[in-house]
Amino acid sequence: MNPLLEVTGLKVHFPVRSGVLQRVTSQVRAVDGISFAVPEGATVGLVGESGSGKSTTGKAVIRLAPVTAGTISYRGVDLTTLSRAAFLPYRKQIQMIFQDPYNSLNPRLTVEAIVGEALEIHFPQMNRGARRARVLELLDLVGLEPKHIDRYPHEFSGGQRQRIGIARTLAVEPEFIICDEPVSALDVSVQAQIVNLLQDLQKRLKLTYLFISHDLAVVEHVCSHVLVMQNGQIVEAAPAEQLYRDPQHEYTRKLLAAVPAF
Amino acid sequence: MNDQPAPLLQVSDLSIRFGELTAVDRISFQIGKGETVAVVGESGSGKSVTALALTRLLPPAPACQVTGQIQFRGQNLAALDDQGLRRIRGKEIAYIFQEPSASLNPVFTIGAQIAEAIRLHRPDVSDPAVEIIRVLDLVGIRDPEKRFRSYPHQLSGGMQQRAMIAMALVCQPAILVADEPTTALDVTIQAQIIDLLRELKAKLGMSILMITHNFGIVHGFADRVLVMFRGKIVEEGPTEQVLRHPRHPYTQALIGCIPRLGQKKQRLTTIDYSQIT
Repeated sequence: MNPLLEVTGLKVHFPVRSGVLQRVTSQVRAVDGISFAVPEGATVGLVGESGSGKSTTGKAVIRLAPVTAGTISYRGVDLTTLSRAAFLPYRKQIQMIFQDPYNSLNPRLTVEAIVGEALEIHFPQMNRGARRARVLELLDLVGLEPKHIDRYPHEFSGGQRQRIGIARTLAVEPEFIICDEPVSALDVSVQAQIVNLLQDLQKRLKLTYLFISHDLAVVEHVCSHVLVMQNGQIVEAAPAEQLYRDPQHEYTRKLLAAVPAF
Repeated sequence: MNDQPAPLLQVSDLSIRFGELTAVDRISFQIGKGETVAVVGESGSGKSVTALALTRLLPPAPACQVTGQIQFRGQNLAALDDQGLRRIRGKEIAYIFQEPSASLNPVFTIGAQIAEAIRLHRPDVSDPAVEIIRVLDLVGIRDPEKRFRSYPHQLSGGMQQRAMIAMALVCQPAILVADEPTTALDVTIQAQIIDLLRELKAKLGMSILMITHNFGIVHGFADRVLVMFRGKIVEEGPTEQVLRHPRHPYTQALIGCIPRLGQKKQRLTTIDYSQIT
């Protein structure tokens, strides 16, 4: 089967400027030549510590980070060469769920406006009534109640906010979702609910996930394939079962050893 | 156990109310000298406000009503005036919090912030610089002479947390209250900070009150665990016993929903709150 997403030789370098003239004096190599593939319907884990480049990799795929070199091929189309207009349909197909449900929702908007905003942009033909109906449908899908539609983000718990974030993501009917530490900010009990929800949605809607996390236990639970990143490079890539049973790279072993176990 | 140390801190019938809301409902617990006690619970269980109430760090009445006794070395902290309490807070009972970048003042160097703690609580120290370098070294900050002059933003999250620990330790507290000290950190850094706390505890003989939602870090670290649920302590016991043989349905559920390495399941267990009384 052809991969849905194929990244080849991806580099994301950020210039460091200093001095009065703000000349570029060096480069931060956030992502430094990585290649990987995500098969359709799979969940691929991307693990590593802060600064390893895992979030930047996710962002580069949806153009939230500048690509210095390499190709990002989605269903065979190289996204890096597309114009802004040509990229637009991919903004709908590829979505992202963020770590912090507190900071990723606009506090001044109701749930209807938050989730509906995406619909306005990507489904301009929809009228207000149809939009509200669709938002209610999405809330039901993520396990929220109809009464929640007119509420503001501060009226929700962290887990519920993450559900709102997921509803917003699903509004545009994406195929591929980049989950950037989706459960790291949540209590363990809520974490379990959200992980289960993501897995249920994957089955129902045939979604493909790139699951970025530093929590190796969660990654083992949800991913079929795991990439380990360190200093902008992928140091190990293997099927999940193999990686956890027999880690090859020293860094992977170190990460596994650091997971609190009992 | 017969060798349990005499309680250093004895909390009795502590209740904390915010208006109509009872955040903590008549809880009692104690911490012995040199003992590490972990309070485990979810957001909203009352664990953090319990820690803050010990040295009156909560908003004053009428916004927040705190009742009950907090005996520290035989002295009731709840009855102490502000001046008396300032001799305890920071000095005898010191805190480290979850987000080191939010707890450090961004416009002062690490050294200046530790110097402030020394000025307030350690009149015996004649040369603060020497003492600051000593504690920075103690918490494993390399090049303490250089780091002394660093601003918080020049340090990584793990290093910032070490600086916070140094600031807490410079006063040689009897009890270190650590409120989710590793939640914002990477797993490898988390392991380092836990190792550091364990090492410091052995070296300095202080007691630790660890507030966490993570059972993983409790194991091998805390001597005793208190499990909080909706403002009450629902279970208490030696760490191993609580982890291996949890008795309360809530503790069982909370432990059950944690994904563990090497034990992949089809579906994670979630907590059915209607089953917990």
